Amino acid sequence: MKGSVLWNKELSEGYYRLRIQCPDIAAEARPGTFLTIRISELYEPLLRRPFTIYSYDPGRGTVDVVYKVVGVGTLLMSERRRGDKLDLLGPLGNGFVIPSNEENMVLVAGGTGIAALYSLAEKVVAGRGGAEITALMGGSGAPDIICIDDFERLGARVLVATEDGSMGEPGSVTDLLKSQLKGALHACDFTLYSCGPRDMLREVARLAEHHSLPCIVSLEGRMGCGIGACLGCVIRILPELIDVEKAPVPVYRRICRDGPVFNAAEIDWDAV
Amino acid sequence: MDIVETKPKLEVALGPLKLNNPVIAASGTFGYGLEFAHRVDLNRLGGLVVKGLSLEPRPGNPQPRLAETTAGLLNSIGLQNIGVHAFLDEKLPELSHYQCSILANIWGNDSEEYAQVAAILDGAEGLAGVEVNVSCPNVKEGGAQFGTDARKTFEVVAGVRKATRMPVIVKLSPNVTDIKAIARAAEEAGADALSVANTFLGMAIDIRERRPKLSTITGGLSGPAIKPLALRLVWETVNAVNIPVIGVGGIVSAEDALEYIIAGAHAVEIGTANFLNPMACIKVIDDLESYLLEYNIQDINDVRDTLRTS
Repeated sequence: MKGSVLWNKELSEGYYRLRIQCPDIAAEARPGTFLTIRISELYEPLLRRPFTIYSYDPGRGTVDVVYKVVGVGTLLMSERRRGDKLDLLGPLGNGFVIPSNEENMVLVAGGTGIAALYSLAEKVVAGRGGAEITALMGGSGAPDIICIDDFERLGARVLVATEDGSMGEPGSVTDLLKSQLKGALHACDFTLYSCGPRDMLREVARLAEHHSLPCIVSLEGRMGCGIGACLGCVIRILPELIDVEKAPVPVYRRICRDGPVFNAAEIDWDAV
Repeated sequence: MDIVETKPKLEVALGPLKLNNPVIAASGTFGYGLEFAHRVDLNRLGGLVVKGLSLEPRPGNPQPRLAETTAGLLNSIGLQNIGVHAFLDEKLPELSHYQCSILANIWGNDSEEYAQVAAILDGAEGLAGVEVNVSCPNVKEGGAQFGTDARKTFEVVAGVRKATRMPVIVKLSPNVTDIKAIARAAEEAGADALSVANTFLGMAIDIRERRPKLSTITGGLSGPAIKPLALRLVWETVNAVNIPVIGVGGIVSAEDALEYIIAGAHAVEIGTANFLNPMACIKVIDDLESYLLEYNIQDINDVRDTLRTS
């Protein structure tokens, strides 16, 4: 599918937001789904790269993705300019089950994990219910904290933690979550949603289990085909949840097709 | 004067197996076909080979299973598959509606298991043949253990030959010193065709973690980087056996496919290219047709084995 670049803005050092004109994808996009982009017409990098959809507008026919430059593929993406044509596949993935707009949400994001969570929050708020949204954002330092304005515009309560203390609370976002769970969020009713580095997700899942909170995660991972055929992107899920007569142990699910959104309680975090 | 322009012929025959065109989607890159069905018109493919099937379902290898290399991809999936029975119950019925030839890649722990899987698939409605995987480099037993030994290859293929009357293709391992010996053994054992070749053993290292990029340390390399290597093996095999050879390795374009066909391949398999572009196979078919039209060649078979070496 063809799309074209409308703009490609640097949000902070190494982080970018890219707006793509692609009415077909904008029409089908849902929160928690992603695109793959063929970065090079030739073979370096070889594979398409996945980008989570941050926001989409079916009326205007646009889709936004947020990404960090971490390697050759994303570096080339950061050099795309207005009018450049893009080779796109999407929307891919299962996406979030949209909660009722009265259910409170606590979002825990690390770095570009913010993308999936913003798409969800934007959709929920559009439903104009009474849901309270709290967004906890974390990273190594201030440049990793992106898109705060967008969340505040949605009416979310935004809390920040950085490892180096350059913005918000010093420490990890999971430390921040822990203190919130003892403080402002204590004995509150909400669902946890999280997206970001694996170590962060593992800890969020552990806290959710400890506090008996429902927890939904969106996973990122290296992908081959991106459409569920090659089995390169799998994660392990807990065998107890499967009919082991029918499935061999260990049991794997594809992030690109069975996910990227999963119930945190299903995932075998020891293998992640 | 009327000039009647007939469409060039793309039909090819791999012994008893007739294909509408010489382009086959390779095993492991196309799932069970259905994953691509709403993006790609499967009817247009010459054939597709489903993911390797074993007697019992297999979970596959731990992560990491993929590592990108320069113009290449290392994989160590480990033959994760739903097992031959689930394939027959859940996948083949829907697949059999398509006009392309459906081929089942098969694997076993030992030659008895290969024969068992072949027997279970024998005569299945909608199945056009089997491709015997004696070449997977990512499993501890079976796979390349057989394909690196002429006698073991013979044993496995002979067992499969006895177990089924369907066309039998044998997918050879490139990780051998002399592929001609393995190819001849497969031919003697009754193979109808050979696919050359499976992935090349390779590895990659994460220098920050000082760890291999794949969980199994080594894996199979595919993609454009391997084309010169696989092409040489195809040419050698073509000149060593009398049965048709399917060329596979790094094909992303019709030009690549033509190199294999000129070297003597009856057909080609396309794998990693499907990840770059799900329409890769279709594009190659269209571009092959354009090539024949442009050069006024009536039949793709006229291009085959036309390499000039003197």
